[in-house]
Amino acid sequence: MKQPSFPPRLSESSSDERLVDALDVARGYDPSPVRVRGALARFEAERAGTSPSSAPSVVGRGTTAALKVGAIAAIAVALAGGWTVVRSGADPSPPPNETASLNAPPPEPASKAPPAPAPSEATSIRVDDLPTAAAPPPAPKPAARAAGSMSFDDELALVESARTALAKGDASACLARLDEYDRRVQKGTFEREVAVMRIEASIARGETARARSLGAAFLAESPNSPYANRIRSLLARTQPTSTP
Amino acid sequence: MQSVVAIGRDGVSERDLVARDARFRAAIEPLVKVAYRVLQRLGVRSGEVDDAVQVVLVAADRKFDDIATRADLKAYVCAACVNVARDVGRRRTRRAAEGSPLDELEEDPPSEQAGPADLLERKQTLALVHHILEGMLPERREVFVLYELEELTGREIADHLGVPAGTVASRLRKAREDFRTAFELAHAERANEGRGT
Repeated sequence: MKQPSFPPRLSESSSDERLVDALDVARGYDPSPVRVRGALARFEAERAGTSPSSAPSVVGRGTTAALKVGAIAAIAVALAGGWTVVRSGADPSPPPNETASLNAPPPEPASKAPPAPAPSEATSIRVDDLPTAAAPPPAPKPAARAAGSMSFDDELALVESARTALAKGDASACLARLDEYDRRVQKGTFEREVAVMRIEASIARGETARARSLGAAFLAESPNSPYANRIRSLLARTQPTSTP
Repeated sequence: MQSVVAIGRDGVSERDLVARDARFRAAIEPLVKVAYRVLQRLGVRSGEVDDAVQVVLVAADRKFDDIATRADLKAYVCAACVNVARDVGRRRTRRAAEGSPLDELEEDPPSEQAGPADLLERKQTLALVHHILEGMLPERREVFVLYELEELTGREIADHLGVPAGTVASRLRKAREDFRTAFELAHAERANEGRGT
């Protein structure tokens, strides 16, 4: 039977440069790695039976938990440092040999225990360096994470509102919400993200000295954090070219 | 009675299960992002995609022992995404289907050095492609996404979607026409808007 021939891909054959560029951009689109890790962690939790919810059978509506995972991931990425997680650590999963057998032994036996955000052998980022919000372990109730009086949902809402304010260019409103976060939450889920956002907001408000001080403190405490490169990049922009 | 600790699924020893699950994890990890983007391109919304990915992962896990190569696993994951996206589309309420904000395409910026203008342009390009895909007939969009963006072969698409290769080729040809037309139209509209301001 005659087999149909398939044409070269548009991105390789089209003479329309704009079209080729658009397809290249689309092909290069990678979802947030934090979100991807969260998905893998959730899958392993559910497979190991450690999650309250079983494997999802309904896909038409996002569950609250799923939405929270998404929101957390979005914050972790959008809070300015997220992309550095991957860019600084390179792609944690380089393209494998496509024809390689799947029966090859794994790098290391993986534990079937409750999931970590990402087993360290599979990534170039230490688990300890991942944003604390990237993949919440399933056992504790989210509301129990906030050490202060604030529930997890309130914590999330506050950080999101701060992020929104910053995205809109309202650094003062952002900082006000971050101050509120610091007042109401101790050792919260988004502690690191809040720290990064505070640096960004300080820069946006022209408080470069404060931003440098905060950035230096962050880097001294967490030099290997996935946010470290992002902070260095931010601080580099604050280096004075002339005396203010 | 055999120990439940020593014997797991289907009478396989726990050690074998652990090794098998580790193999699966190593194989599936790079494909999770593939699942995300294919589902998004096939119209699955931000609030739906996390659950949809889980369904795909469960399906891939169940099928894993029958799949020989990484390429086959990728093709299987992509085909599973097609099926799950169809299911999501059927279940979705009309209200939930409305809107396609740029924020749904949140991703890693390509580099730290990319400036805001570059990032905005990239995001707009992604949104444009997303918008065009949304407007395509589902069966054409599926083939277009798998062939043009995920770079599966025509044969892989045919095998995993269970349609004849000729049908895949036909859908691809029409999908490319649709995409080109919509792309040119979008740029023409943009040019007109530019002249109008």
